[in-house]
Amino acid sequence: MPDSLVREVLVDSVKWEQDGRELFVSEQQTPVFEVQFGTMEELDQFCHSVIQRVVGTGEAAVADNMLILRYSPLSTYIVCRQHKLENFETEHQDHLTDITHGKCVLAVQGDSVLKFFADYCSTDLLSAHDRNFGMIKTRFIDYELTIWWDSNDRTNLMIDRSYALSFVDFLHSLFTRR
Amino acid sequence: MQTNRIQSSGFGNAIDRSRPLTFTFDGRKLTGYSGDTVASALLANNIHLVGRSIKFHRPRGILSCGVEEPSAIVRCTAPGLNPVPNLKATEVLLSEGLIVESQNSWPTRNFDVFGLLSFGPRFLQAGFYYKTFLWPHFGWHRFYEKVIRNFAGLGRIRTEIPGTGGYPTNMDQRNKFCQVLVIGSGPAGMNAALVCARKGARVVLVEQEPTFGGSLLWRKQAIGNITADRWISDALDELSQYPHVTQLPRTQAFGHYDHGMVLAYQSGEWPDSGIFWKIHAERILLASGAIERPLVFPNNDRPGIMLAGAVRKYLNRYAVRPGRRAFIAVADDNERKATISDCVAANIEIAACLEHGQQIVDTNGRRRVRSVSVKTAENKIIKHNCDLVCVSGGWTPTVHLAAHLQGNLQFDNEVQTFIAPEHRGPLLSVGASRGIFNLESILSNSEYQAHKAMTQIGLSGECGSNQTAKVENPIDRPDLPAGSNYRAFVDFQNDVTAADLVQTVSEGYRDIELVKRYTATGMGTDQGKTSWTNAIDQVAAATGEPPEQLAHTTFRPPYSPIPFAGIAAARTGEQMKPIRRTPTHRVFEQMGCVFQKSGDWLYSRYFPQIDESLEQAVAREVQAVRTGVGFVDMSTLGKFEVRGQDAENFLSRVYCNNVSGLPIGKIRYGLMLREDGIVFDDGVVARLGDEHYIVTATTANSHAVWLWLTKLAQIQWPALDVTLTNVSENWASIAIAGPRSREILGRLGLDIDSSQLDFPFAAVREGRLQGDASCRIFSVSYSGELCFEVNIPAGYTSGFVERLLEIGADFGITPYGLEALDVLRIEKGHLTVGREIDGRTTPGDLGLAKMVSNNKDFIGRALLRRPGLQSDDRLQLVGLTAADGVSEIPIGGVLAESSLTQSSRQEVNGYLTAAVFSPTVGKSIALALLRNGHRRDGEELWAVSPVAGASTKVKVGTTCFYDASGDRFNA
Repeated sequence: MPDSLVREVLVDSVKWEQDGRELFVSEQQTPVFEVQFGTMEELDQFCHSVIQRVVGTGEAAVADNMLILRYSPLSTYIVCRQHKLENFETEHQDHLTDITHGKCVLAVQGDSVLKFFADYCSTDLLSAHDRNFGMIKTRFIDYELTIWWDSNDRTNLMIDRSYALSFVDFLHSLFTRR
Repeated sequence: MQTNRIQSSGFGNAIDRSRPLTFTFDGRKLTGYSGDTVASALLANNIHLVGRSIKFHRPRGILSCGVEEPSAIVRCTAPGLNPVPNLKATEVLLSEGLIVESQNSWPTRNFDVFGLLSFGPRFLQAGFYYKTFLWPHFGWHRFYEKVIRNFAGLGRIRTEIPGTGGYPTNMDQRNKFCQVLVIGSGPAGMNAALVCARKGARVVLVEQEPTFGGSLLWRKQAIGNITADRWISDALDELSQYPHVTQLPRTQAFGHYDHGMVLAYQSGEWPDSGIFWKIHAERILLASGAIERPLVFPNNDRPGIMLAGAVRKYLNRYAVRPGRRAFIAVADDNERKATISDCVAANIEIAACLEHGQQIVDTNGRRRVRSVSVKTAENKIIKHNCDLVCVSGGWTPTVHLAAHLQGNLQFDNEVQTFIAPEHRGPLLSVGASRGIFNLESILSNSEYQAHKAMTQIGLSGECGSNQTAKVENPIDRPDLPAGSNYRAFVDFQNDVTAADLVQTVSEGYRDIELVKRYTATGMGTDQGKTSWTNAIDQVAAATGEPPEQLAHTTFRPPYSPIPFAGIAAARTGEQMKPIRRTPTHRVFEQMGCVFQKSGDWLYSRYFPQIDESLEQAVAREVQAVRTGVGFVDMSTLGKFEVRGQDAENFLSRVYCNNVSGLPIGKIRYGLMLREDGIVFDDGVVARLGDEHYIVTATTANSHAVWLWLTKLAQIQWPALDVTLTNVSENWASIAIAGPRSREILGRLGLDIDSSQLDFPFAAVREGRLQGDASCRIFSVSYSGELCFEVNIPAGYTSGFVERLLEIGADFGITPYGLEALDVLRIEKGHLTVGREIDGRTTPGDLGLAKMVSNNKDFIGRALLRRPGLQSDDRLQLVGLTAADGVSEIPIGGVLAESSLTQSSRQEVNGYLTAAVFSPTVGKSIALALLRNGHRRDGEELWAVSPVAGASTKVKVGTTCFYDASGDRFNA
């Protein structure tokens, strides 16, 4: 083992080109936590304690060093810029789980990439986008993804680690078919 | 030369004369224009004989001008593309270099040897196959089937282009969401789309043809005081301005499913390219129009006999004159006048018209119609020379999508056929699909239905008055002459004649579904679009029942054939389904591991050394674990954190054995039952803290167990204070197994005490690797040896494995895979899902009855007590060894009282769940589920495999072949 542990890069950054179109895919090695409570009220309170407001189901909310993705009434992901959640990691330790290594976070950039993703998701991504929901947990053909977006040309997604390589291969295949 | 192309620019609004294209048909080089279909281009080149019919090999031409085509079936390809068979020439758009071939003829379509069969309608009647080839009894398998299979079928699939693997690479599959889906862009569909779009609805408009407009494009009607072309152009311009409207040309909606989902296929430029759409709509407006109905008369299938509407379409849309002298047999007066008018405008001479009271008694012409014989009301036969016969028996509403989802159609007395219901679920029918054929009424009806849809989805609609089905002139179809129906075809594609239908009814098949199956009427690539109403009329006449009582056959998707490649789209080859890779994948790949797909997982199977076979590698890996140390990837196991004040209570209810009172840092084996008392899964429960547990599930059941646990927590017992987190993906799990595994553990740089005293069997420790990454170590064993499952954050796996190899080199550490793991667990008698835990076994069957707690409630408890699950006569898990100690026990065998050679009929006493040669025990061993097996210790039976043709005498014994006392994993 090396002297210090280095997290392995799972997906190498790639840029695909086809008929004048481009798509960039890059892995974001960012800490990810899962927060779960038994009731919606408890999760609401948790969100309020973190960013001073309630985050609705299907909403993506940005705080100083973190992104809160509430994917269900009782659960949320927290995507961080730094690994330690000093303020509340111990306070909420019974409800907070570090799943950083279980997820692969990818940034996908390209012209109208949101529309590209919308074509393959089994829920209405564009409608969710129009309504400023910010995130959605859905199926992308056979893959389960959590997707959030910055703009029409950049989306971020989170996928189970074991599926990541297969998903990127599949994404490439879809890109070349358009 | 395109001899039949009309040069006047007043014809041909579908083609672009400035873009000529070349293509070949049966090797002959021809030309057409951009916008042509293969059918229009063939007709332009004066080619009418396109192929041969499926049964009698009769010459067949082009009957129609669209999706309903039953006869003009071709194979298309292009350089570099694999050929696509069974395409309708009326649907395939011409492209440069397209190679078109006729089907079902040999050696050529003009001279087809099998054309001799065309003399057979009188003999090859309905049910011919069922009544013939009955004897000798062995003849079917030996001769008849092979011969018939050579004759039968339509088209050939070949994947002859190398490098493609046979997978088209231009197929895609996409979703589309909308508030209103409008199917069809004729006057009804276009008008409905405009109404919805103006209200701000998200609209998707699909049209199966390349150009929007439907029948308006060739009927030359005016809407108000503007021409149809102008009206379409204005409508499309307006729709294009709405960003919430999507127009999908060349897109055929072929199936209507639950919750407003419609599947559609958008064909691409080439036959092997297209997009398979899943359209999710709140409301569906079905404006699919109508299909013209042929007339049934003797020899009505000759090339040159065409639907009147198709002739008009070829004239007006493609500037193609299908003949020079036409006989007009059109039942509807207005349609007849319009057909004559269009033909005359295109300089087609009118030979004659079929008048009321007249019958067509025959046609002549070998490869193309040359004359029509008509019987007058005065019984006089008149022969009319012609090279084109325009026929029409009226129009049949296109109702298929309204009839999917087991929907029934309404019989309308006004139009004398079945029409789509006004609405069913999210679907509203519009225009001709409702039997409304008058243009003014169609526009009024479409507006009404569109407003109704708007109101239903919450956008304000202004419903006016509705329109109902109405015909302006009663249809007077000519009767089929008596006694001459052997060559009067009802279903052109399946060569079903009126005589076949009469005979079928006379043989007792009166139900329309039985008639379909006995005669094949309505089957094939056209799905009976031109035959089903005529067939119902013929059967009604034969049975004496009115057509409305006969009803109709079941309409199922697809409305018209679509390519399988479109359904698969990108899911081909290695990407047919997602592949899951474990955290060790990359480093194992570098180590030369052979992988194997197991479910979605790509699992390490074995690690061969140079020139080593699978068997040799497995024996070496097993030996290393039994005598030294090895390691295996166990990352695929499910790992779930269970936390909260009620975590222990929750787990106690989930597992059938006692998990209460488990000390922190200890592990217990757990058995989970289904509600019916059958074993669901097994794993371990480890206690990490006061209110913090981690449980594992088998690889195969990982997802199912997770869903089950979350359902229990959220729905069954919401009052319990428990939270669940699936951390299966977060932790890589490397099991270090073997007598020297504790020594390895001690050198890994962990901040825990790895001595036997402080870290005994069935314990869990949390620590840090090199003081950095957190890790969890479980002393559990699936192999039967001393074993430590080291869980580390998945991203650090490669570095950890490299370190393990480095540290273990002095101990001869050996990676092992799934094959060796299976041998090790069988030697130990451990269970696996899918083999022993097979969805039918109870804890008692598996020898685990003592685990089941009598002191608590748990899922499956009540039904486990059923007498049937407590019976001694159940299949119970036993171990088997070869009675002679030498023979191999056949894999997948059953247990019988006698060998294969002693009796051909075996009474089965059970079956083998696993059989391997054990390098440790030195002989073949097996696990089996044997009836009353727990009381049959020492008995000898036969393990019989009829598939392998092998039988071995086996002795029943314990399931544990190795270290029954368990001393080794307690070391």
